[in-house]
Amino acid sequence: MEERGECSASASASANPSDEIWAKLVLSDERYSDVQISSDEKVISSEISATSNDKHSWCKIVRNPDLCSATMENKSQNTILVDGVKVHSDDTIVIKDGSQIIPGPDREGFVSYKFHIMSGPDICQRQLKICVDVNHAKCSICLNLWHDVVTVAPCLHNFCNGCFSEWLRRSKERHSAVLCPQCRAVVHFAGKNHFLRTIAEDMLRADSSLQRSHDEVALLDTYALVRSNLVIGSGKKNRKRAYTPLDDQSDGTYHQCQQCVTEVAGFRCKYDTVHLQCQACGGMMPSRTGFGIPQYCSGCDRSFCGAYWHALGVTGNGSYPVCSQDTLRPISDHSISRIPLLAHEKNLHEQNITDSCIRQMGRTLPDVISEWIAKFENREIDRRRMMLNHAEMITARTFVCQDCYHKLVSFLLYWFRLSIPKHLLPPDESAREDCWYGYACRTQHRSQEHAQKRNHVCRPTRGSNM
Amino acid sequence: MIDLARVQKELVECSKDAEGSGIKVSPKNDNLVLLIGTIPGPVGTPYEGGIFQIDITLPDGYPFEPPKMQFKTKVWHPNISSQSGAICLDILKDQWSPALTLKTALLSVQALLSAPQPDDPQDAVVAQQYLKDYQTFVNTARYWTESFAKASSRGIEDKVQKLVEMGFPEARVRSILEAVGGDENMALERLL
Repeated sequence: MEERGECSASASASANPSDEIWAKLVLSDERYSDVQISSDEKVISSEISATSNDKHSWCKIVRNPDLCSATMENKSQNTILVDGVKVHSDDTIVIKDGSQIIPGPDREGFVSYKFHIMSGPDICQRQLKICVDVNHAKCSICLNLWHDVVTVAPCLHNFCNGCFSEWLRRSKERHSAVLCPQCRAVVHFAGKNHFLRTIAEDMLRADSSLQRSHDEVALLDTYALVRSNLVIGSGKKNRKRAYTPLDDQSDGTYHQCQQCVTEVAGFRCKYDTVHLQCQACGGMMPSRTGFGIPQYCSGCDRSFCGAYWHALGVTGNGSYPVCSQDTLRPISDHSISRIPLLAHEKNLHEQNITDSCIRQMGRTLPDVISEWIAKFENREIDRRRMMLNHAEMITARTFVCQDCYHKLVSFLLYWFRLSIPKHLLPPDESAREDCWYGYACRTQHRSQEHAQKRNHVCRPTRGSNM
Repeated sequence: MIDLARVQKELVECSKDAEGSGIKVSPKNDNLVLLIGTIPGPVGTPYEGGIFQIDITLPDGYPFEPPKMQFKTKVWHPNISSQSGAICLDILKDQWSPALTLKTALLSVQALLSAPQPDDPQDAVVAQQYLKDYQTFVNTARYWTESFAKASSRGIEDKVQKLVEMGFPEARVRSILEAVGGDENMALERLL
């Protein structure tokens, strides 16, 4: 028999059945049930004594406007302990998620409650409002708000990717050094600036008059060359003398590339060849967009050298870093031996259930993944929640890195779990109710009990992720 | 393809500050490719008091390629051709940067009037005079300013005034005078 805590405002509570439970008091003693709080202001009537089942009205809890905390007022004759602080009769104190509350002057003889706020998505978002001069976020080339902003090094000036890339391209055509448009420093390195990109996006939301036309955005995107960090050759003018290996030594910091020193497979870097840095080993390779072998992961747009050097028959040695082939390869060529750690939103309990189901069905993980990649390719699966860039263009032959392959596998395992008939699930698990917040639940990450008590491989029916 | 949105922004920016700096840019026609820039002669130089007009042509690659600028007003300066008005200035050639604008380019031209570079001349005759007979250079430069940079401005204003007094709208008078190169009679023919 499960009893819920009563409250003196029960009449008004029943008059508002749509009230959502926003917090609860969790008892460390399993003999008693949790107290659930759904109204913004509530007098708590529940057990206080460790030895008696009697209920007492001992405090009032009022939800605070910030939705991340509450104010508690002592309604009893006893002193109450909140996180070790004594609260006397009729006094108030602010309580937060995780606050420990004892309805008595000490731990002896009294039960212990923990205050939990049900964190619906976005409920605790705190946004600071600041003043920014929009002119400080404008590209000095197009005089408009940054679009896909990149930062150049060493001077750290910022431009639209498309604008800077066009300048880069024209500088290369003229075989001159690439100078920063703003300060004329020689540019050695350019990369996307993700922080400034979010700033620019926030500014666009605040002032839609800054929005560019679709045509203009499309044009800028076609110009954009910087996809991951781009290393730019020094652009030294060598017209008057032969190109010699000695020059490479002076650029040692930026040119750990085999094709700068020797010709490999018919190609040798020129002094102004743009290079890509591998995100796995840090080694360099020439950026060759016309070349048939991919140098970028289609899931995250980062560059990796495994496929490139492998296609040229180059293997690693002591002088130049070279990845193994598996850092970038087609999805169907990747291999998997265990469920990725990020599967089922990193819920280990659900991962164990899925693993158990696979074995129960007499199958192996690679076998299951192979089947579901085929379903994925046949468009049998809704791709909207897949955490990869260019999700709609991905096929079994698309080149992706290890991280993105794991994201894909995790995505497929979610759909695999949904497809499992209830009778194939372990008996304890099939009886569980679905968590209201489903895969978006945040409690599953910090409460092992909750992670086990409810099913989290399901769609949310509450919160903003529905 | 010229970034017309940027050119629009530049024109707006120039007009905001025209009173303070004296620098103006206006389009010759509707396509924003041909423009007229105006700069005042710097104070403390032989060009003081003059108003110099500069023809501006924007290449297809603008702002990644420099604008083409040429003095329309005759000027006596070592780095500006006294015959063609061609300007020898590095930022209008290989030192151009896409972060520079029409306004900053005109400011640089104005700065060039303050600080001639006779070692890298556009006009050898003027440079020679500057180096060997500086006082004559100053006198000649001031004379050319009086003759061309001031009179032409005053002349234009006088013609505008006459034609406006005949009953023609001022905006139309100005644009037609511009089109016929300041010839009052030709302008009158077109206005009728």
